[in-house]
Parts: sequence; C-alpha cells; structure tokens
Amino acid sequence: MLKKFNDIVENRHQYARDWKARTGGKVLGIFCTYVPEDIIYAADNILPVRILGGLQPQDVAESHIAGIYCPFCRDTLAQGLQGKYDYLDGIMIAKSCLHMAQAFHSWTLHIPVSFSHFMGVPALVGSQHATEYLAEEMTDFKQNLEKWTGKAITDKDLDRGIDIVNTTRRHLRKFYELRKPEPPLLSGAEAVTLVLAAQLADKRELNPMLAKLQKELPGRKDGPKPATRIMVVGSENHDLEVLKLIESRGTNIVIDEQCTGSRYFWNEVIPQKDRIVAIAQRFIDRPRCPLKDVTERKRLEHILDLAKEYNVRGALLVHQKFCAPHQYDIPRINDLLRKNGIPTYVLELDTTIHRGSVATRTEAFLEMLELEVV
Amino acid sequence: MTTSAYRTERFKIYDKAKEYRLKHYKDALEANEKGRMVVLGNFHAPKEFMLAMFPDMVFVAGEPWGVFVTREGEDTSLPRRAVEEVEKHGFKQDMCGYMRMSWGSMWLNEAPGGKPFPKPDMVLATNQCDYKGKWNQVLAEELGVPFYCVESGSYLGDGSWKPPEASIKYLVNQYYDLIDWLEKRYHRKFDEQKFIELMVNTWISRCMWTDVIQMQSHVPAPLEFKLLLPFFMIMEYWSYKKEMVGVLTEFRDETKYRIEQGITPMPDEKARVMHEGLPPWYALNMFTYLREHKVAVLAGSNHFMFMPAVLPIPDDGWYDPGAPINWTGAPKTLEEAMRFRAVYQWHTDSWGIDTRRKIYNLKVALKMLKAQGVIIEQDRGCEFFSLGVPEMKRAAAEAGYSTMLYEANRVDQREWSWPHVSDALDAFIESLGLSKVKK
Repeated sequence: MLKKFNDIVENRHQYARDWKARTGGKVLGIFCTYVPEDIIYAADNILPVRILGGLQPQDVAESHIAGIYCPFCRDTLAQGLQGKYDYLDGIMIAKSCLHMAQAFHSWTLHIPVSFSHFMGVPALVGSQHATEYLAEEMTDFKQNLEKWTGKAITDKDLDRGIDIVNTTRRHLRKFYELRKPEPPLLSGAEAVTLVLAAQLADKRELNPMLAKLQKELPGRKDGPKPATRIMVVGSENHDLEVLKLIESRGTNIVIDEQCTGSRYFWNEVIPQKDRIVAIAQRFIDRPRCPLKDVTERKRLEHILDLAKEYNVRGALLVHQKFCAPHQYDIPRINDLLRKNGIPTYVLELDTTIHRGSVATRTEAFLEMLELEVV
Repeated sequence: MTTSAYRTERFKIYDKAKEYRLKHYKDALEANEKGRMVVLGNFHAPKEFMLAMFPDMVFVAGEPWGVFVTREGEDTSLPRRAVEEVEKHGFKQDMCGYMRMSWGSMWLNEAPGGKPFPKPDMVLATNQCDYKGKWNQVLAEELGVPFYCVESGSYLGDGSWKPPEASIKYLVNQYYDLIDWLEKRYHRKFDEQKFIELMVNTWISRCMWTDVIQMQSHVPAPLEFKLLLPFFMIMEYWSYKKEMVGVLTEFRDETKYRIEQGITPMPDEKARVMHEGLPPWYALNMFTYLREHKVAVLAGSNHFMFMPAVLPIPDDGWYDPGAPINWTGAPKTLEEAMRFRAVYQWHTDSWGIDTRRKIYNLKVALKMLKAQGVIIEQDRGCEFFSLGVPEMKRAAAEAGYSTMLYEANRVDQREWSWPHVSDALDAFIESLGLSKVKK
C-alpha cells in the first residue's frame, strides 16, 4: 500500500529529475521545515524538496564544517558536494540553527545555484511582534521568488498555495489519528515515510495519493501487531531503518514529535485577508522546535499532551549528536515525562548508527517498561 | 624607523582595566549582602534599559563569568567540578563552555574565592546564538526568577553589513516591550534621558575602540592581542558607562602616544598575525610562545565587531574597517538612541552567524593590519565562534596568507593538548619564514 511513498523517499533524486523533465519547472532545495512551502506552491511551477543526508559515511564536508557540528548538517552538505543534488535550481533556508546555517552558507559558497535565499524566522515566537516580523521576512522571500520566476504572486496564487499545502497537512494529520487505536493502523516507520514523501514530492500529485491511501488503509490486514506503544521525541531523523529496527523489537511508535514527523504538518494556515500574515501566523503557532521555545515554554506541554492522547508507555528521546537545541530540552522532557509515569530513554543519532547497539538498547528499554508495570 | 628606534614600556592603562574587572566581580559577589539588585544574563543583553531605571543594579554576564571561573577558580578545582556538575544534571560535554561554567557554578553555589553564586532578581538575555536564549532560560528556571529575552532579526545571508530594516524594527519594538514590562513589574519609570546618555557613551566608546584597532595597523604594532583582552571585555560589558568612556579614551590616547614615541611590545616583530577566536583562557602562554618567536599577534576579527556601528556602511553593505570614524554621529533623541542600540546589537549578534561576512571580515582585517597569517581556533566550547572556521581558513589560505587551525575549548581544560598545539604553532611559525627558537 505504501510502496509508491517508499519509492519517492528512496529514489528522491530520480523523482525530482523526472519531475523537472515532465514539467519544465524549477526544483528548490529547502533546509528546514520553517520554510513556507505555501508561498513556494503559490509561485510558478517550483517543487520544494527537503534536502536530506545520504546516511552514508563521507569525508567531503569535514573541510567545510567543523566536526563539532551535527552529522545531519554535514551529511546534507556532503550530498551537495558529491553532486547528488545537481538538479537543484535553487536553495532556501528558514533561520533555524547554526549548524544548518553553516550547511547553507557552505552550499552557496561551493555549489552553484541560480537562486538562494536566507529567510529570518523569529525564535521568540511568543513576542507580540513575531508575526509581523515573520510576515515581512516572508514578503521579502515572495518578492525574491517573483524575481526568480519573472512572475508576480497574487492573492489568488497564495490561496492556491495555502490550499495545496493545507490539504497535505490535513491528510497527514488524519493518518496520525489512525495511530491512536491499539494496534495502530500505521507503524512509526510508515508514518514517517508518508511525512518524508510529503517533504519531497509535488504535493499536487501527492494529495490524491494520500486521499486514496486513507480510503484503503482501514481495510489493511498487514498492519502493525499489538506491541508496546512508544513515542519518539527529538531532532530530525530520516533513517527509516532505525525506526524499523526499534519497532522490530516489540514496540510500535505511535506518535512522534520531530520535524521529520508531526512538527512538519500539525497545524494549518487559517485564512485571513492578508495571506502572508496568515501563513506567518501558522508558523508562529506551530509546534515549536526547541530553538523557538525560549522564554515561556510551550513545547513540553505539547509533548505531554501527545503522550497522553496517544496513550504511550514510554518515550525515546532522540537527538543528532552535537545538537545543542535538543540537548537543552532533553533533561526537561525527561523529568516531565517521568513525573507523569512515562519512562524515557535517550538515544543519540549519527549519520550511520550501529544497529546492534540500537537493538540492544531498545530491548533494554522495553524490559525497563515491563519492570515499571510490575 | 629601525628596530633600535623602538622600545618597550609598560602599558599603563592596562592595570586600570584589570582593576575594574576585579572590582566588578567583587561587586557581583557582594551584591546580595548589600541588597543591590542583581541581574544575570549575557554580554549583549539590553541591560542599558534596566540601568535607566536601576542605576545601582549589578549586571553579571555569563560569558565573563565563565572566564572568571576558569581563570580565578583554578586553585580550588572549581572549573573541573563545575563542568562535571553540569554533566550530572544530564547536559552534555559538547555544549557551550561558558554556559557550563555558569551553570556549574550556579548548581555548586560556588564562585571563585569561596563566595556563593550571586542570586539574581531576574535574568535578561539576548538570543544571540543557539545557546544564549536557552542557557538563560534554564538559568532563570533553576533559580526561580523571571526571564526576559530579546533577539535581533535576521541578516541577509549574503555577507553584507547593512542591517535589514525589518530586523531593526523588530528589535526596537522588542525594546519598547521590555520597557513596558519593566515599568509594570517594578513600578518605576524608564528614564529616557538617562538611556540616551548611556547610548552616547556607547557611541564614544565604540569610536575610541575603532581608533585603537585602526592604529594596530602601524608597524610595529603599539599593542598585542593579550593587551587588548581587558579592553575587549570593557567593550562587551560596560561601554555604556561614563567611567569606561574615560578609560577607553585613555586607552586610545596611550596607544597614540605609543606610536608617536616608538613604544611597542615587540620592537623586532618578524611576523604579524591575527588570532581568530577567543583564546583558551587557561593557556594564554601560547601568546608568550609566539612572542618568543617574534610573532606579533595583533587582534582577532571579533575585535572588529564593534566597529561597523560607527563607520560608514556603503549602499552595497561591504564596509571598510579603515574608513573614517563617525565621531559626531552619537544619538540625540530617544528614537535615535533606540535605533543605534538595535543596529549595534544586530552587528554583534549577526557578526558570527554569516560565513560570508566572517570571511570578508577576516580578509579586510588581515589587509588592514598588514598581517601575514592567521591562527584560527576551532573552539569546541563555542559553536558561534566556530561557525565558518574551516571556510575562513580555506579563504585565507587561497588569498595567500599562512594559516593554522587548532582545536581547543576555551574553558574546559580536559580538551587541551599543548603538545598538539605547540607542534601546529611550530609549523605555522616556519610557514611565516621563521625558525623555531632553540632552547
């Protein structure tokens, strides 16, 4: 049932090349889920694709990015330096962390593209001025896109762009609802496959596929079996094999709080007269990544709500090695979930992960959960 | 002028700067006993707004606190115990070094000299990098005090020094919100005139500093890197104080005097270099090693971050650190003062985040200082300073400068290896055409 989505994720470069050949459009590589794809879809014939790492050892990025920066940023840059993204016409980043900023800057220095844009995003999303500021940054981005394509983006185009991306968000949210029952109708790896496909494929083509899958899924016979329900919280992770490995050890990952998961799509753009402000507001209100959860915390409450809503027994707190933003929040998340009777385990991610070690740790974590029950 | 025309002489104002630093820590450690308001935060926090309401306030920034613990705490093993305490609380070794010193000292409730960690009334920060906002958020939570944070808007990502208007407006709006919050919380009126004065002082301080850095291009240089350190701290911390304007004026005047009188720390400089990054504070002996080899270390590009606010920025955004200083541009109204505060905060916040800007800054600094090479620290304790380091090394090398890269952690001695660093220094010294000094 999910083969087409698997194909998009596993053969993402070929998919993008085929798309270009079919449509004659431009492919825009994006570095963060704070990028307003609604505006990109409003522009003329551009495919936004999230730049992901190859999950293979590499040595080309080390002379560009310090070894103390996360494996994900080095892996993504390596993919660019190795020519895997030679079909990209442009790149764009929404200000997230220093590590991804470094990958973006090094990309602009060494890998030629005809378009690049750095969009500011406030970290202090609780400020009453954050939406206004973000809207100005988005307007700047829109104007830059217009120059690149030679075509103005009208309110009607923005309505179309918002509708396309909101539809995807809605679909993904419904798939995540299907993980509430016991057993869930989708495994964790399958759910993340759908989210990644949404970050890589043309949503105009993807939306009907998602709609079709939604009709078919309730009837599936080959879904996950009952197992210990856990959640995964933390940083980017597109290593589906790790998720499958974790789930093969007697767990079902029933919910996540990651940017390669629920943080990407959780809330929609709510229409307003000023479409750019509406889009900006959506990003201000979305589940926060740790760098946006400064001053008054909202992320912890959201994680706990998800844990309760999805009836999880335990939580894996994952972070890319050297990822400071997530490292800040992990002790707090740990304390909060444990106080609420949800045991946790911290797992550090790298470009390549020792499978045996992950398997052993997952099993030990499950034993811990069983002991908690006793 | 020949070498014999130059002489060394003690840098008189240096001791005053050091005294002030020590007085600050004494004030910080005694503030609770004396009932003074204490605010913790980071260097570039908008403390001037609070000082316009609470002139007697003691502001304690976490970055120099990290240096204080590292250097002054060595006798009691405090630096090591501080970082270990942070790890016991579940935070990792690869996180910000200054932050770990600050948190560790807080959790141990121990400052150098055996006094307790100063208890704040609140925490005030600017979200300068991935750490500053979150660091101070956790600090405020652990200490159970209010936390207020502001942030600069973004930069253009193309390396230019022209701040985007949206970013400045965003910051100024936040400043007004801060004033409003402070007035409601503490039932005091914000003194606009006082704030303007503080900004005028800041302007003059920056002009004086810029003048000194420009004078470092003299051959031989009137000062060296180590002599700049206490004044760099003044610039980061207290450039708004009238007293510091006096100190920095003396600093500038004495530097000028040294050039006029042929006074230099190294009359027989054989090579001139820059040092990128703040040095490992427990290993400043590396500069002594370089001095023995007649290598003059002139400045780091971080010393240039105070300059753009008082220099003309052309329309294309690429500033020239040697341009004439705008001595008369100090703010006169509240609006101008707010804008100036936002512009210089934007410069200091975004200085380290744009790789293209760091490369440009390094190259123009090397040229202005007539340097032959650059020593670049890959600081494992600071990702802000580490951003762009490999690209800076590459760019400097491609431009024909001798380069050296070394890894260290400016506060955590567990990551220091003098044999490795000295080997790299020896190779670097050779690349400058000099021989190693035989001992």
